[in-house]
This record gives sequence, C-alpha cells and structure tokens, in this order.
Amino acid sequence: MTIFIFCLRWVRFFFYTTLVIGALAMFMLSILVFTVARDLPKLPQPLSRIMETPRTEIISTNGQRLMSLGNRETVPLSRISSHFIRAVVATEDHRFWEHHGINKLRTVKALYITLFKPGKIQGASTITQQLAKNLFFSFKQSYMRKFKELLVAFQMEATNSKEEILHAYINQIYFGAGAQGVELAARLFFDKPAAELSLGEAALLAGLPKSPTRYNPYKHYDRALNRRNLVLKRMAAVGYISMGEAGQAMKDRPVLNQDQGRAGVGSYFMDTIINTLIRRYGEEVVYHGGIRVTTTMDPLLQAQAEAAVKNGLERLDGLMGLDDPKSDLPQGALVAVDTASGAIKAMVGGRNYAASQFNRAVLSRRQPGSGFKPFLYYTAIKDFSFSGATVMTDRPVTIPVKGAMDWEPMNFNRQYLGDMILKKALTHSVNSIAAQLVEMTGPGLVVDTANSCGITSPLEPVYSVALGTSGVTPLDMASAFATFATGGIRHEPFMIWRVEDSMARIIDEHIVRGKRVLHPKEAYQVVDMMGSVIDRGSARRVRKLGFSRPAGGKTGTTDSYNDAWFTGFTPSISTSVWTGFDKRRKLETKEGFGITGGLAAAPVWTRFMEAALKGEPVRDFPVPAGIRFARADSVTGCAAVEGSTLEVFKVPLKEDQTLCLETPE
Amino acid sequence: MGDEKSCTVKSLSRKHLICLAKFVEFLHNTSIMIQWYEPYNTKEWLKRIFSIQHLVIFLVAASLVVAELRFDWCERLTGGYLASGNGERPEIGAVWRTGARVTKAQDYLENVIGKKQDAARHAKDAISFQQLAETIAFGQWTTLDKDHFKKLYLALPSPEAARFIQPAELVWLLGSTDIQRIFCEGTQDGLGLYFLDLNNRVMKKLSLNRGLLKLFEEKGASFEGGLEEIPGFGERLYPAAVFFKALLDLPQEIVSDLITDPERLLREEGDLVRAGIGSSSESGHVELGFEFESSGRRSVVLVKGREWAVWLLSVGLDKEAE
Repeated sequence: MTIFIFCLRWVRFFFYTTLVIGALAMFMLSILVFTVARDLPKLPQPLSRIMETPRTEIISTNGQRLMSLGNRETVPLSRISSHFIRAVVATEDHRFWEHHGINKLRTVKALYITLFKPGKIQGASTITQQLAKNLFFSFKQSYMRKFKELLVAFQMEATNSKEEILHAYINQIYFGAGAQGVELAARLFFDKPAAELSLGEAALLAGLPKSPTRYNPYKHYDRALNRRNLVLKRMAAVGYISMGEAGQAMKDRPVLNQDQGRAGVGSYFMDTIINTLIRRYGEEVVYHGGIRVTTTMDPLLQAQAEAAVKNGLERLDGLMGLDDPKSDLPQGALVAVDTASGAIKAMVGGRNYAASQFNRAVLSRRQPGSGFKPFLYYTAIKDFSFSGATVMTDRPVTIPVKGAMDWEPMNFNRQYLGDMILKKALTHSVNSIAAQLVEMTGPGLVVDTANSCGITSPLEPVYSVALGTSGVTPLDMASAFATFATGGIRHEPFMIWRVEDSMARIIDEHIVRGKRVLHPKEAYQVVDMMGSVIDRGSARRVRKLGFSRPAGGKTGTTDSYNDAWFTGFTPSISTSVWTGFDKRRKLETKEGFGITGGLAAAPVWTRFMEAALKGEPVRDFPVPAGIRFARADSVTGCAAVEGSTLEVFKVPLKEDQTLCLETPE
Repeated sequence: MGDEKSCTVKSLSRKHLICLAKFVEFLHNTSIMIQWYEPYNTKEWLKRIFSIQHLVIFLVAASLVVAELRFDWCERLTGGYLASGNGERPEIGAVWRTGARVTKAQDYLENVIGKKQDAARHAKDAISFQQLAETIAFGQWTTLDKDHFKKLYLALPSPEAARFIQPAELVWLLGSTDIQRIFCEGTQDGLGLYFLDLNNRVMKKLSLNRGLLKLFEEKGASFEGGLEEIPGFGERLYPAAVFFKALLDLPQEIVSDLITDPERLLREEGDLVRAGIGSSSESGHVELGFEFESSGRRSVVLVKGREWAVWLLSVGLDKEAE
C-alpha cells in the first residue's frame, strides 16, 4: 500500500512538475521569440531573389565564355539529376520532406550528445536551417545564433514550399574549387550539366559540401570516394536506392574533368584582367555588377602558350637534371601581343597557377641581358646614321664612369674578333661593340628609345642599361618589340576590348591608337638585324626547330645565367619568353654549363609561334620606301666581292647610305 | 545535497550510481509522511487521480504534445508570426550584404551609363562643333555617325572648315567603307575626334582645340590672350620684327603662300608684337600666329601657311637667330 501511494505521489509530482516546467519553458521561449524576432534578418520574398545576383562574365575575343564571377548558375529542380536531389536529402536531412524546419528527434539526440558527451558535438541542422545559416548568419558557433537560425528556418518553412527551399539550397551550396551551386559543380568536376549526373557522380558531389577542401576529388580522390560510398549507403538506408544499386555505384570511379586543372594556368590572364577591372571600377561592380567583359584573349593561342611553356619547362628540367617535382623548379612566362593593335592574345605567368599565383609575365622585373640591345642599335643607327654595314671593332673596352669604377664589359664567350659590321655584331650579340655604341649615344637616349617603344619598367640611365641590367617584364618586352615589328608604330598593350553592362550598354571600349615613335627606315634596319639573329645568330635554334616564317628577335642571357630570354616577332605577333628561377639561382645543365636564352626560351617561343601561326598566310615585313639592299662583307663592311670566302650579310641601306667599293647602279 | 550537487552527470560511472541511490533515499524519506490534504486510502487516491479535472488537464497536455509532434504547430505558429513582421525587420546578413553590393554596383553603372547617354543625346542634338565641345566634358566620350559629322562640318564657315580638315580628305574619309564611326572624346583642350574602322582602329585623328572652336563660333575672330596660351605655339615664338625680317627676305611668291589671308591681319587692331609657328602640320599647311597688343589687351590672329613656305621661313629665322 505504501509503495502504491508512494508511486502515485511521484506520478502526480512528475506530471505537475513537467506541466509547470513545460508551461514555463513555453512562456520563456515565447518571450525569447518576441525579443529576438526584432533582430532577425528580413527574408527576401520570394526566396529565389537570393539567386538574382547578376554574374560578371569574362569572354574571349571570339565570344567564348572564359569565366563567370559570382560563381553560381541557377537551375530549376527539374534540370537537376534526381540522383543528386535524393543524395543530398539522404545525406543532409532525410526527413526534409516531413519536418517543418527542425528535426526534433535528431535535435534532442544532438543536444544530449553535445551536453552529456564531453568533447563530442553532433549537428542536427536540417536543410532549411543550413540554408538560413548560409544566407544570413556567420559561421561563429553560439546558442543564440543557432536559435535565430532555427527561427528563420521556421519562417522559411511557413512562407515557402519544400521545393522552393530545396531549389534555393542546392543552387547556393558550396562544393569547393570555386563552384557554388550544383550546375557549376557538375560542369567543373564532370564537365556535364547537373541534369546528366549519374548516381555515382551525384553521390560524390553530394558528399562534398560537408568539407569541400577535405574531400576535394582533385586532391584527395580516394577520400572523396570513401565519402561518396557513405552517401550511397545512406541513400540505401533511407530507401532511395537498393543495396544492389548502391554496391554497383560504389564500384564506379567517376572520371574527373581534366580541363579544370588547365584552366588554372589560364588564370594568370584572368587574374590580371580582374585586377585591371577592380582598379578601374571597384570590387562591387566587378563581382556584383553583372558586367560583360570582352577580352583580347584568344583561347586557342592561350592553350598553345600554356602547352609551349609546360613543354619548354619540362625540357628545361630535363636539361638541368631536375626530376624531383618537389624541388625548386625553374619558372617561365610568356606574353604574346598582336602587333597591329597591342592586344594581348596570350599570357602565361608561371609554371602552375595552383602552386604560385605570382604572375611573372606582368609583375616580375628581370634583367633582359642582350635582349635590350635592339633599343641601343636603333638609337645608334638613328643618331649616327649607321647602317647594318657600319664597321666597328670587337675589342676589350673600358669606359670611365664618373664617381664609380670603370665599366669593362666583356663578351659572353670572352673572345674578341676584331672588325665586324653592326649586323654581325647584333647577330652574335657582341657586348664590346654594344658598349662602344652606348658610349657614343649615351645611356639616356637608349632609355628614351626603350621608353618610347613601350618599356614601362623604370630604367636606370647608366651605360650598362644597354646590356640589359635594368629589370623589365615579359609584357614590356613583347610590347616594345611589337613596335619594331610595325615599323615604329607603338600601340599600348591592352587586355580588354569592351565592357558592357547586363543590358549590353557600352561602359568602356578600347580604341586602337597607333603612335609613330620610331623612324620607319631605321626601325626596318634593326628588324633586319634581328632577323639575322634568328637566321644565323644566337637564336638560330628557332630555324633548326623548323620555324621558317620571316621573323626577328633577340636572345637575352644575364651574366650569371639567372635569366634566359627570347623575344621575337613576326609581322603579326610579338612574343616574349622568360625562363629562370624566382630566387637568384643559375640556370645550368646537369653537366654544369650555363643555359642561355637560345637554349631555354627560344624553343618555347618557336613551339608557340609555330602553333599560333598555323594556317596564317606567310607575310614578310614591309620594306619602307627609300630602302635598298646590298651585300656587305662582314669584316670590311664593303660591297661583297663574288667568290669571297668571308661571311657576307645582306643589309638594308637608306638612300644616303652606301657601302665602300660599291658600284653605283 | 552538497554531494548531490557534486554528482553532476559527467559519466555513467560507479560514482554516478552512488549519487542516484542517495537521491532516491532522499525522496523516500520526504515521502513517507502523509500530508494533511492527501487521501487516506487507495480508493480515494484513484478517485482523485481519475477526476474530470485531472483527465482534462492530462488530455489537453497530451493532445498538445501529440499535435506538436504530429502537426508541428509550434513551428507553424512561430513561422507565421515571424512572417507577419518580416517587412519591418532589418536587411542584415550575408545575402543582404550581397544585395547591397549589387545595388551599389548597379547604381554606379547606371550613373556612368546615364552620363554617357546624356552626352550621346546632347551630342546627337548638337548642331555645331562648339555645342558638341560644350556637351562632352573632359574624360567623357560618345560616338558620332558619319552623317552627323558631315552636318556639323558643313555648318562650319568655309575657311575655318578647311583649317580643321581639308574637304577633299574628308570626302575620302567619309566615303570610305573602312570608316565605321567617329569616336568623340572630351580632352583638356577641347575635343578629340577619331575616325574608326570596324576593329576600333584609329584611321584618322583630328583635334579641335578651344582656339579653333572659338574661330568657328565667331567666324574668324581673333583669339583672346597670348600666343603661348594656344596649344602648339609654345616653342617657336619670335618678336614680330625678327619674324617679318626673315619673312620679307623670302621671294614674293613664297610670302603670298605664307600669308594667304592678309586682310585678317590688317583688320586686327593694336600693335603687332610677336609671331609664332605652330608645331603641327595638317594637310600641307602649318598654322602661323600673330599676336597683337592694344591697351594692355592681347589677341592672336591665326592664319595658315603652306608647309614648304613655312619651312623656308624657319630656315631664315634660324639664320637670323645665329
């Protein structure tokens, strides 16, 4: 009897206590809801408004879409694979279709584990709660934030259908690698629309949002597969698929889109464009303005440039005996400019964008070495009416420098060959003759020529500038050499043709303004000498590799072999290639020989130009009026005699220039 | 109770079970005594338990709980309440921040485009180059079609129009299929006009500086100010005596090619103090400027001389300088 009464008493006690506590809890919660409600964020109506952020589109010169900023592409549920929808629901919130914003059982369980199992935290967020968090709240963990998130989830459920909520969730969820929304993720990882995802692919994608970095299939493929298998098991457990289907899908190894990795290298170009746009319009307009940017990039040339640099650097690794990919490897950069307009058609800023985002094509100022000599030769030819047949003496030179040690430049091979004509001197990149020329012209005029051609990097007006001791960028070099290719007309290099708003109204457009900065005849004389550099000089490897089009160029190698350049041009494209280490380190073969621009950079240039000009008609450099050609002896500079054993150069001469012993026509 | 407090649930260990036993003992001790309001027998107990009041309370409580579990009325009620006040709540959170950025970006773009459209509209309405220059501020631009440009050009007084561009050259430019449109931008000096081909390449550039615009407006009026204020006249300025000495040393037929419109110079009031040679040539002509001074007021009359005649004059002036 006593026990019976005892039990009754306690039943009564617990019943009323629970009632009172429940009522009190309800009351407190109501107060809390009323208090917190005022600070809750307003919900966009309809919810789909969250996806209306216009995307900025960057397109190539031929209209191909290169990149979208505000990485999201909204698709309706009907255009998403049902496998994916089920996989997401099974993994994230299998009671999604039943609850009203909160999964009570799971929440109680999670609360119990979080409170009573020290060190363990269990999440119980429903898809609606996750959407609320992603849209309105920071990722800072706090009970108040969770409570607010819950309230917003209730409101979402009260004012939107389940389909609308799921649509919003799936289109804003982050999958890693810059992909927001399932459509972009499907295209990025599998190069197909979300509607075409197979069960295995859908399960792999559905597993990513939990930790996009940890499960990134490009970096951790097996880990991503394990996660995918968990998703499949979950789908089977929930009843969306049979165990047999799950087992079958687990055997699949989805093939990832390999173009994704290649797009990373092209990102150097995109980076530069985005930075330019931000400088011009500000971040808001670039990322949220929905502008359409037509760039100068030619996707085909860009792909060829990337392939040429990759191939060239792998070849260089082999030459240097660097076979450990984790060791410090040489870098490379390439810039190709359309000579007729200044449009930058291709740009590669380094070996691998994922490993280093530093764009060496536009940001790295490296000594061009002899690659700078064309500016000196032009200055000398213009100011002293020299021609390619003018004779100078290759000999040791000492040039006194005020307030400093005498400058004693030496030839690359430490040999002196005596008399030779200027064309031969540039062809073989003779330093002693360049030093004599800069002593005659003065460094200031050489700097003026370089600047007017398009070198924008600061140049020191010292004698050694003529031998390329002031750092320049590959973009500078490609752009400045393009001025020679056009016979002296300078075009500002640019990357953006046109910027329009989302309604195709033009905000900005580039006007191609050419400015004559070099005299055409003198410019042609230098171009002719630079052609000889390729035909029989320090860049003859270009011809050996099979490039037969008319072209001019100049190699450049710094004294310590830290930098190896080749910049060259045809009448239509000017391209500069640099190779070297980011840190000061010598480029040398495994046998210990220094690597020159002709060996490291010229093959990259050749491979790129060969591919870039494929199918284009062969064009020669136009000869300016008043230029005639004569054959000159390379030592005496006199008209070549039939049967002479000496080396003979064909040189362009102006009307007032003659060769010694030349027979008048 | 101190012991009980210390027995917070940390783990299901032996210590935990001891705590539980102590708690049960405490409850037992407090429940042995029969309170004055409690029934004294089981029948009474059962009567009270199953009283209507208790049953109603139980049923109401139970149905509330079951209804919540079954129909989520708490969530619906709360959601509905929150939705009713949605309009008054602040636009905060990541999605609204993005929205604000979108609005800001669109405002900026609308502003830029609005200015461009205004400039384009005014440019379209302009009936003279003077009006066009007033419309397009420094840094702004618009495009003109060939017909509009033709109309503006034809509105110029003949001698001044030739000063701007030779009619024959304009006929070639506007008749050429290469020229697609004329890009017109505001410069610090006035207007820059670029004849563009399909690839936005500049086929011909013309400059309309303020001095020229004034001449257009006033049909040959002199420029108020000194020679150095006119663009292109900063370098070759000479005292009038030196200039005319060199000029008059030239053969007569060359002098007439140098000053093709002497009436303009003769009409100007004041003393001729300086003369200058412009730095650029256009269509085989170079501009010559003559500066007059009258009662402290300076004015410049511009005339065009043939390029080769100006070159001969320059040689003479250089000799004078030596």
